[in-house]
Amino acid sequence: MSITLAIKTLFSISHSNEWLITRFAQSGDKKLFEQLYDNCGNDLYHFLVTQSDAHLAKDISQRTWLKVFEKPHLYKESGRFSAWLFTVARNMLVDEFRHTNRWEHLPEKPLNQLKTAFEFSDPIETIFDKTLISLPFEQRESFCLQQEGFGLQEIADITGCGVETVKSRIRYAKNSLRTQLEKYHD
Amino acid sequence: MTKPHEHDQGSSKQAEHFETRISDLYQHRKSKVQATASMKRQLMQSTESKSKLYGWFSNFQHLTFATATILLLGLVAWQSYELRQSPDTLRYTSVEIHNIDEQSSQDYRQISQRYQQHYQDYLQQKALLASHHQKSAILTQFENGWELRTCDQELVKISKQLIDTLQQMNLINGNFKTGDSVEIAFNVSGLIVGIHANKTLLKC
Repeated sequence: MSITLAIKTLFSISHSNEWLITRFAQSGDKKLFEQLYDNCGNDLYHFLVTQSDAHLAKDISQRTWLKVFEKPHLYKESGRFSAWLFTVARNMLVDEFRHTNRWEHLPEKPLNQLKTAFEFSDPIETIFDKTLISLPFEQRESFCLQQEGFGLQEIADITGCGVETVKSRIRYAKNSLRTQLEKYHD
Repeated sequence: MTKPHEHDQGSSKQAEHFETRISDLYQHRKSKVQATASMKRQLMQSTESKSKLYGWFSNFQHLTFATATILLLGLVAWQSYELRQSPDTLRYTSVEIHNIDEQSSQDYRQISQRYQQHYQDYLQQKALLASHHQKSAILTQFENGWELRTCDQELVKISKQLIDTLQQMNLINGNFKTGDSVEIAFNVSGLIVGIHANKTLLKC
């Protein structure tokens, strides 16, 4: 089984997501769409789970991918496909928050003012997870997008704010993470 | 005591270490939070139904286009076939025949005679109407002739010689004066053949 997979991988030509979405928009070939999902599905779902909860993340993820399926021509070839995908998903999520009155513009304040309690016995992964989740929405999304490999300009485009704001949010997020991680594990 | 550049190197190393560490922690978290197979299955099923709907619509469009094209081609072919047919086989909606035959000529003579008869009758009737045609008028002048005004704003001038002649022929009855109401009688040619007193006063 693994040999077959290895041979398939060896002979299959790997295409960029941008090539896949462009070809999919032209041909409507579902295999191309499936390949796109395999390439970006987990990244998007993890981002959405980190920004909301599992249930909403699943719903937004499905809706985002259906939009990609129905309107692939909306993708502009000038940018990365993943940036467009995350923009669509992020907009849907914020719309959903606003629709259900869950959208709260949290102030960018230091983490020590937030109510986060850890045990010294907690593994570092748990501390990281809890600290990440307790970050303000904007800081969390900027940090996650950076970890997903997006540049500052791309993050600014996805979140609809300036590059300096993005830098500031990432710095705050990292400082909070550093503080908590050093406090409990160093 | 550490030198400044050593201190900078140390802090940058620390920062690098921190970046690597949070990156690892992030990737570790990602590995635990992944989209399930059922999510993919559900998505692909949804796309399947959308594809079917789109496919049906697309097929319908193609079918409509094909039918319209076939109909158009059929119509053009039929028209072209009709035009190529010989004149004998062409169909007409109206046929008008012009010819000369004995029976038709007799019919024409009969119709012509009847027409002449009716026309004579019409002229006689017209003469009869004209002979009895009269106009009521008011006599307005009585010096070098008469002026008779009708209610239709017509003015009939009669010379003195004519009045004298009419009086000699006894066609004017009575002695008239200005303001009298009279009846003027005309013949077929529109000539005055008599002027009589009108018993009823003319009011226009």
